[in-house]
Amino acid sequence: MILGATTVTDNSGKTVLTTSGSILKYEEFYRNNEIALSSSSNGTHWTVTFNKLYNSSTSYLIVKVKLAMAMRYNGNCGHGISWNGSFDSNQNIDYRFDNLDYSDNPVFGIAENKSLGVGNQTIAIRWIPADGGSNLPSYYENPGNGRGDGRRRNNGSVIQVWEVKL
Amino acid sequence: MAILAQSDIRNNSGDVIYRNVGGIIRMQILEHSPNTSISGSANGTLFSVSFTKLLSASESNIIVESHIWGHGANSGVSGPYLEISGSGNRDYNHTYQYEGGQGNTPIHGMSWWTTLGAGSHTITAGWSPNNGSSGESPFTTLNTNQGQSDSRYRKHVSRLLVMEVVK
Repeated sequence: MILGATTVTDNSGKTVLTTSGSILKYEEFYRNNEIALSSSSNGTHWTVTFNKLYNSSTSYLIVKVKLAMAMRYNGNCGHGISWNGSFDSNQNIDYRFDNLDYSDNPVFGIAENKSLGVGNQTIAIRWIPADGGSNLPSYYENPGNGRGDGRRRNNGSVIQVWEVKL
Repeated sequence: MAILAQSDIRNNSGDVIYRNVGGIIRMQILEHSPNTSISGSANGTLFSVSFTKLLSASESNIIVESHIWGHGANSGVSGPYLEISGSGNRDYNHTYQYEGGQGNTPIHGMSWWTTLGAGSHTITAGWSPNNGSSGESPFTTLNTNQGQSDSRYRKHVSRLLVMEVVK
């Protein structure tokens, strides 16, 4: 038995039976091209656009992030997620830091937003240190084969977005 | 494309909600945000959060992914876990990287419960070293505040990603 099942109407007018927490849409963004980053007080890793099907009274977004990073720089830089240009500093997305040149220091975490309307939503993973200083988590995103260490294999980054029934 | 295995899940009206075995019927984030100082101990709890499971134990499983943010080194190994109250099932498949300097000490892992009935359940995150050693903890601060111990820090929150999937 499903508790509290409700319905939504899709773009073709069909009625879809759902419950709170049902997945209405899923999209995965992936890239593995190596990117050299520079120290900044206001940096952006990656920006993606998700076309939301329903308004904020029907659905919300859950985002899961894993960015491949290597060649350490700073141990702390104030990471977070930006929704349509608004930086969410109450956040769960940050990175693991190993103070060794050759170690991986991936950025990861999950986020949600329940105030987004229907249509294109811009989602960016950023670092903005709270003290305004110039910082950088690691020199390379999606490090290529042999980057900084002959043993290294190219590693890609993923942003997963679920549109979920409210 | 053929669906190899199906499990008909229906509502009270008899409509099929979701049929694919392994299909996610509910996905949600559980959040714990208070800033907390963590003291070393032979065991301890970090936080508890609750959720409602829609289907019976015979109809669905629960997958939980942890994203718990801590800071400040205390123990390199301390047995972090997630446990569902009353299930008798504590799961230690959660780990952290020990970083003695300025970096974060996130706990990350995945648990899988197959015997939970429908209704409310409480998940507790904690630690318990295998040898019972005292004075242990994965970190010294849970959910750092902005600027706490390092002016660059943003406020951290800990979250669990909970998925209910059809058997």
